[in-house]
Amino acid sequence: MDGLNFDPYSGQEVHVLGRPGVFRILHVYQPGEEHPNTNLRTAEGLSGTVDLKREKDGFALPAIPWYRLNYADETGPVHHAIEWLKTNPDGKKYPDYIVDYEVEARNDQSGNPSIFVRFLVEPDFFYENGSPSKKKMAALSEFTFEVEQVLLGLDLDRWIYVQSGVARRAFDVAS
Amino acid sequence: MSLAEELLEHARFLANLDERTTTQANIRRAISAAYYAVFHLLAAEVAAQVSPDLPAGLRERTQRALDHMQMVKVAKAFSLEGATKVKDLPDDIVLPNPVSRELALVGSRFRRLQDERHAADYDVSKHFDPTDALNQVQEAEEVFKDWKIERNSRNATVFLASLMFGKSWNK
Repeated sequence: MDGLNFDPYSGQEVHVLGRPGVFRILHVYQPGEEHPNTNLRTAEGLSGTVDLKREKDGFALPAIPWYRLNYADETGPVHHAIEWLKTNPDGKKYPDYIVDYEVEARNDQSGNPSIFVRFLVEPDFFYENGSPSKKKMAALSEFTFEVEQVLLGLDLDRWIYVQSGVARRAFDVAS
Repeated sequence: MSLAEELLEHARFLANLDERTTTQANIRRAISAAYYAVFHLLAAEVAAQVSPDLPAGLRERTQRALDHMQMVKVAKAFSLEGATKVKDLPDDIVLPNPVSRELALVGSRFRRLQDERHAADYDVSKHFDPTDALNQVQEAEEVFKDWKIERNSRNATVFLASLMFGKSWNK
């Protein structure tokens, strides 16, 4: 998973330890980069800071150290990791037959707090000459396993399920 | 043919019914049978490892004692390829080798199959496509293949013992 990093980025929605509400990151200062406001420079800020604005009322919080940030959405790290996978890192190919994916945080059927990822594939993908193709299903299963391995490596306090399904065509949804 | 193989065959049959005329019941039963095929595959292996086949019925009783919840926890613990430690394994039991790809796949697919089985059997709000059943049957078939490769490994011994005793050996 070299190359997968969870550094904060501008525009990201986050929670801040000790402050209610959802904040948006306006600017990121990298570790070692000093904040332009000299009054806000602190030792803990040396490991990186961000300037924030609260979504609800525009309340500003400048020079907040990275370690005080949390994802506003617990599926955030999973989204982040999948977006990283889309860049085909380490020569791993993100299949072009996947048209979308969904991430959902909920309990699994046994009551374990879980994150479900569902990759949606083109409706015709599974079929070859009119019949379901075992080879294609195996390839998809292999891919979902690879994704699961990446997500398990994040060591989230959640059970991870990576599944796949057929993307509905527009007329399927409308009917 | 073992019960596990019969169930897999049954799942295959249901999943491959004509998609234009098949029903939610067929699809759901296919998904359920795919899980139970894998469940019985592993349960039989556990029983064979921990119990003699005589007197008659002893091994079957042992198999009956397996618990789905415990099994899925163990499956989760063994789902990470390359892991050298797994959750809930007592300190004095060292995993002989890092978790192989095959064993990680078995663990991962067991969890998915079980969760889908619950949804197929109980979640009436969910709609299943014929491809969902085909997918689950494929997953079960892959477990059979991967288990064939893994079953004689030293890790497999620990995995099977964990399926049976995992919840009580940290007492």
